[in-house]
Amino acid sequence: MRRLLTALYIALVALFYVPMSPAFSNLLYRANVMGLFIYWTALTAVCIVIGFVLLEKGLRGVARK
Amino acid sequence: MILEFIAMLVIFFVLGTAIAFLSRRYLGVGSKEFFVGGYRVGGFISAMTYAATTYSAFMMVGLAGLTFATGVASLGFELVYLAATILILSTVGVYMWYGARARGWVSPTDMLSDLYGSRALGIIVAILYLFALVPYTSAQLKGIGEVFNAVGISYEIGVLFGAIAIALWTVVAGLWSVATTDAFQGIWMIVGATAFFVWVLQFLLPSAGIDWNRFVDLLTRNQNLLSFTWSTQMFVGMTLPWIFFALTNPQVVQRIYIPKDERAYRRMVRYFSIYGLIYTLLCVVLGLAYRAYLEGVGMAGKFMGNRDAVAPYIISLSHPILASIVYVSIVAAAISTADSIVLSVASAVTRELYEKVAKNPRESTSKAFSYTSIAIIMVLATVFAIARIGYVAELSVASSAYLLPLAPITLAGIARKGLGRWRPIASLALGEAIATYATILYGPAKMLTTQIAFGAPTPLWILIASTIPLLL
Repeated sequence: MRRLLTALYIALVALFYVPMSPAFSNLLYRANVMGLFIYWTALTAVCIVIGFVLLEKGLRGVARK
Repeated sequence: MILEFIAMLVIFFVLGTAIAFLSRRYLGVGSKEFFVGGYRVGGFISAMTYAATTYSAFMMVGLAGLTFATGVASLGFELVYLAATILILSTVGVYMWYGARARGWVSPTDMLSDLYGSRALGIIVAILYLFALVPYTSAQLKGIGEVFNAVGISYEIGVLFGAIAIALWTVVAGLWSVATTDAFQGIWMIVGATAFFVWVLQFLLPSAGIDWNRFVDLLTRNQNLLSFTWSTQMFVGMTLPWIFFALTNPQVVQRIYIPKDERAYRRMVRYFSIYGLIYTLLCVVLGLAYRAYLEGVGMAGKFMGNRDAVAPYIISLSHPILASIVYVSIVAAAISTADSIVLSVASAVTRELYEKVAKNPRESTSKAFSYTSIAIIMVLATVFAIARIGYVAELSVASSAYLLPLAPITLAGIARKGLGRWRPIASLALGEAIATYATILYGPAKMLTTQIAFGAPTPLWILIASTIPLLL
């Protein structure tokens, strides 16, 4: 579970780079003028939540040692 | 304006110094106490020192200026750093925190030399820190000097004020005085940024007749600043060193060691995450608002060649008391970053060049060595800042690239045992060779974003080169 979450998190970090594609960033802009702003903020919020779950699992693992 | 600023600065300095001296009550004996607070720091202080250390004067001046000039892409650059840092703190960071107390790591050089069983690695990395981080400290002092200059006080007085505050708040109680004053400064930074944000939205933009529709129009009129305007090389080149910042920069690595227990570590990560997101959004929205306002009043072109001058100019338009609070918040951001760097570099030098060399290291000699290291770093940084040596600012930009090889070395050392003593040194040598080659070819300012082969920017090649010896 922890490895899966870490892999998911790394995939989310990779998504920060998708707007380098003009097609994608234009699509976001057309959907909403602040689309790119909202996209990166929402992505960070999701990362924070998953990060907290990972942190809990990591600390539990350390406690067991 | 000068009077209000001096009054605010006096309040800031007196409060900070009082906090530093009060924190002495927590200071015990030995370098573990002086450099990592005896691993006894609470969650809130750990979080605030992490935030204030990682977020320098760059945020309110540099990031806001970058957003002014290049638009919303700056948000992606800064938030990918935050997301990657939270991942590191939530995974590898837990092992580093646990390892520090189990193995007695004080400096990140202790950790690296312990993971690889190599004394030489610790000494080499301590020298690398000195080379990479003295210019970075000097750049913080230059930032303080520029704030004083913007207010109408001489640049040199600003640099000297910064140097005195940094040295004093570092030597009074080591990590304890640095961390508690960082907490105070971290609060000042976010309160200052929030108050200024409210003023910009409530008073500055309406004063120029800018509502939401006009705001969007002004930001998309000539170049669409709400879309992605950076080149691929620039985005990848700028973000790569920042993704690994939490593993490569000793001032933040050392902060991972300090929380007193699991609860404190958890609180450190949680509070820092929230602080980082709010502070980043504030600075980026401010940058967009600066652009809209200056486009609206026909002054944007004046700042295109010097984007770092935008924030000081807009701040000067606000009420002198608010302006003073915000100027001091920039001074606070610079001091809180610089004192943590000075302490962490001094810890690496003291550990590697005295405590591990001497057969029976003495407490008094160790302390004298620490103070001397702090004094030497501060004198060098101050001289560089006062002499306004141009390449110091450029080297501080390049420092993240020079520290980048430490990321694969740290990760591999934690993940794999038995890599031997020479692989990390080969890894470091290869990474530094690429960084030096790019610096000679393109200069320190452009080496991050210039492609050196196959269309890939320098940091990517540094990472690849320094990873290869660890995989073979």
